[in-house]
Amino acid sequence: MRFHGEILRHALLGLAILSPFAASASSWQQIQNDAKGQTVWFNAWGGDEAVNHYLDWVSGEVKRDYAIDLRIVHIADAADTVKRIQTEARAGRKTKGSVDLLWVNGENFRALKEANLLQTGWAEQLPNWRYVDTSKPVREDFSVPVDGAESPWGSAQLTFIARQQQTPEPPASPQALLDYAKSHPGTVTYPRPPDFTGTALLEQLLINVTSQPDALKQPPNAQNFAAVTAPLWAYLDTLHPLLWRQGKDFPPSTARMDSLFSHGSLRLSLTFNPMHAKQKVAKGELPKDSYSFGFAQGMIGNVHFVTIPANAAASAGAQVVANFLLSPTAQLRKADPAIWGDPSVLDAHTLEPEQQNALQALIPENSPPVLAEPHAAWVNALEQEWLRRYGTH
Amino acid sequence: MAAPLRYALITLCWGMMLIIYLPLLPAAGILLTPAFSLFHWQQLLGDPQLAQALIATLISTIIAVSGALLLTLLVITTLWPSPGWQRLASRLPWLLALPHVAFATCALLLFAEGGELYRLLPILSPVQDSYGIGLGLVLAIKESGFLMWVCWAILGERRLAEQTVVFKSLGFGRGQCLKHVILPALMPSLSIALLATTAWTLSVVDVAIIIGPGNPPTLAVLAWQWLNSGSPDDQTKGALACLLLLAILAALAGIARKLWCGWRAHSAHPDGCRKPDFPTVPGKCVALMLPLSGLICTAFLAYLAHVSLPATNTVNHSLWLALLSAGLGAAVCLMWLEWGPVTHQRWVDFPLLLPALPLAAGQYQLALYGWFDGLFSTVLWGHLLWVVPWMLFVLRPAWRRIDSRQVVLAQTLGWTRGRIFLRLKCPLIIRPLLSALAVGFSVSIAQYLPTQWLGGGRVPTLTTEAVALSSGGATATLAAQALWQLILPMAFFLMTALIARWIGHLRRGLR
Repeated sequence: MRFHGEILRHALLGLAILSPFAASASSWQQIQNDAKGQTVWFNAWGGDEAVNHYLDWVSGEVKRDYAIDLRIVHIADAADTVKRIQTEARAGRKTKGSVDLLWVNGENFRALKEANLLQTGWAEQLPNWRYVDTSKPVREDFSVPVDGAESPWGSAQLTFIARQQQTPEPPASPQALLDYAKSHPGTVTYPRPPDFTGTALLEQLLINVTSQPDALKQPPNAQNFAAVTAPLWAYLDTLHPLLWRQGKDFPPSTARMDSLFSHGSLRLSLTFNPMHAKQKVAKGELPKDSYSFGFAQGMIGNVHFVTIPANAAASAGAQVVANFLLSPTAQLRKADPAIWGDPSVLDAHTLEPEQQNALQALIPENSPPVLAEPHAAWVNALEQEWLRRYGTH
Repeated sequence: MAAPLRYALITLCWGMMLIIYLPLLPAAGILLTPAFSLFHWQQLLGDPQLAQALIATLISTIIAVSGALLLTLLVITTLWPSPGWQRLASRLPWLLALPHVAFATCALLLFAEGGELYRLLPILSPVQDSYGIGLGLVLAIKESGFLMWVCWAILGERRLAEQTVVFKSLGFGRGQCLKHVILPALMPSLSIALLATTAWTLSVVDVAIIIGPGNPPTLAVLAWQWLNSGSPDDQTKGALACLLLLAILAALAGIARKLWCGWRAHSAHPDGCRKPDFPTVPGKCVALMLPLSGLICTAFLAYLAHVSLPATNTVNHSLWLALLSAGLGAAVCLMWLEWGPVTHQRWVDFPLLLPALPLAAGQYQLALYGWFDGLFSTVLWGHLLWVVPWMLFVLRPAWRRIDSRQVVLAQTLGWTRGRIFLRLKCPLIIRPLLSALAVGFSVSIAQYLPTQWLGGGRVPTLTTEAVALSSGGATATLAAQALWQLILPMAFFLMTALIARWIGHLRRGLR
């Protein structure tokens, strides 16, 4: 009897699990049917040929498998498209908007979500959501709750780049970085905030040197900002005279840092993509002995997403594309440095053994642990204070 | 011509201009709304970066505009009206068609830290440029090409050349000739070109990021960063910074006008003293080096580029948009000059002076209300807002200088207004018209914001792809994109220059 009871319980449990799944399966079938023949306009940053080629491949796949006509709109900055969507909202365009799918995260997502310009509650209903690594910050984008308004696509982590020949032993802590700058003055720098990689380094250093790390999970307030950030400014006051151009000038972007790095003016470069070095070495744009490293305690990381505006003309098609972007095949291909080299958001343990091995092979060895970003409000507060202190020559 | 037809034509040309310029109304709203917030003005004026950014902006702009003007006048004094001037004019497209960003990138790769110059000559070391001097110099060279192109259209007339010959034959030197004959004739037409150049230099973002000062950058770059920020306060601050740039433009224009009037009053007539000496070597060198620098840049880009063919539809879109907008623009401009108001309407020049973002946003609002966004024809309409004022700006001075006695003569012969327009006026301004077509063509090619917004990404062009790809900052990609962007305008410029020369052979008075 005990045995029967067990079976019954399992069966009931199974039914309980299956029935919502069955319901969502049928509604997903409906979405796939609606998506057939739709044209999906995917606005994506087009600053990298590798990304563009990958998206061309995606277009071919969804055309073949789902009869969706996926068109990529290459944009220079997602902020442009955010403004376009805001203008559409102001003009009362509630349907048939110009954007069906948009690649975003952070500030741009917050701006759209707070203005209620996004469709919510769809991302976790995607069938491929089951593969997503939920230990990554996929439900909060810079501490803004996602609420199923965007589907994770890739992850990123702040990463240093150095040359084996010049730097056999990379600095593994902020103190070591300071010593490194002391012994090689004028060869270290970072992009000028508000460049997001420059701001990320400020956040990274703040996490490392502050005495009140818990305060970073809340928005900064007038009482504690000075106390929490004092160690950071003390650190930067010591570091800046040792930097490139004595810290009186900063490169505008990581791309400029890369070129100064390959010309030998700098010994370190910075990136938000842990596979950037591998990928650029393969293309011959960085010296052959370039390698990535981070601080031993960990480096901050985040996730980037695709989102669907509330006025999208092809919402069903956009969801099917977002689901395809999460599929193990698409994620594995994206993570390959020979193709693009953008780290996957999937949990390797949920995959088939073969795919599991392939994914694990692509995760860079001894990569530092991922630290969560501070609350989004810190970005602006840190930038303002940095610009006040160091933003002039 | 029968009166009803004339009224129909007048209505038509006003109607077309209003359709093209209608977005100015919502744009003015977008531009001016933030101006009434005292709190945001305080935020802007209290920003620690403002003072140094402003200084760098002013220094780079003054160097760029005055440098370009000096180079232009030097070359005109030395060469005009000789065959050398014609040769220069046909070589100028090498510099003109080169996108500013490509020119700046070459300058960066040659002269910046780690650049080719310091690799070849390690003794030299680059200095930190906090005041935008390098930016000013690079833009001075690039913009001098544009000013010379404008002057070429203005100076194409025979009468001025004859005056110069007479003046020189009286024993006056080239320098005196510039002061007493050429400048007074040139300046009224050139002033709007200088104003447009100043407006452009003040508000340039992409070039300033590449070779401008870094900490702080110029005011235009700060404004752009604020406009792109997620915080609404910062966006308002960015809009106010745009207004501040416009105020600076007005102030600079006012000062320049005062200086010019003062100078004219001070030296009204030649005093009879002959100063025949004028060194011609510097002018000749400049005339040789300017087109050469464009050629060197192109070669350097070709060397750096990892060339991959652009998609066919982007080339098609670019080509058709540029051809159609230049053609339509020419028709609108000629009709406006013939049947539009006699006095010069200031609002026509606004798109040359105002920042592009509010204008594009205004256009997009209208397109959304009318449900005609995302269409090729809408993008074409969007381009005309910039193409028409640029073409008018090239055509207007030439149109004004049409000898009214010839028109009167034609009228006494019984010619109708339409016949005078087609058979007399159009042939007289054929050379400025060709020049205007080339300018309109390249202005259309260069449009990014209106193409991307009005087209909603449905009408990709060489420029939208180039801007998107260049945002990654990889030099090889940037070089390849710049090359593609350069080929169409260069071909068109060269073609118009050749046609102009050919017409010059046929018509003696236009040579």
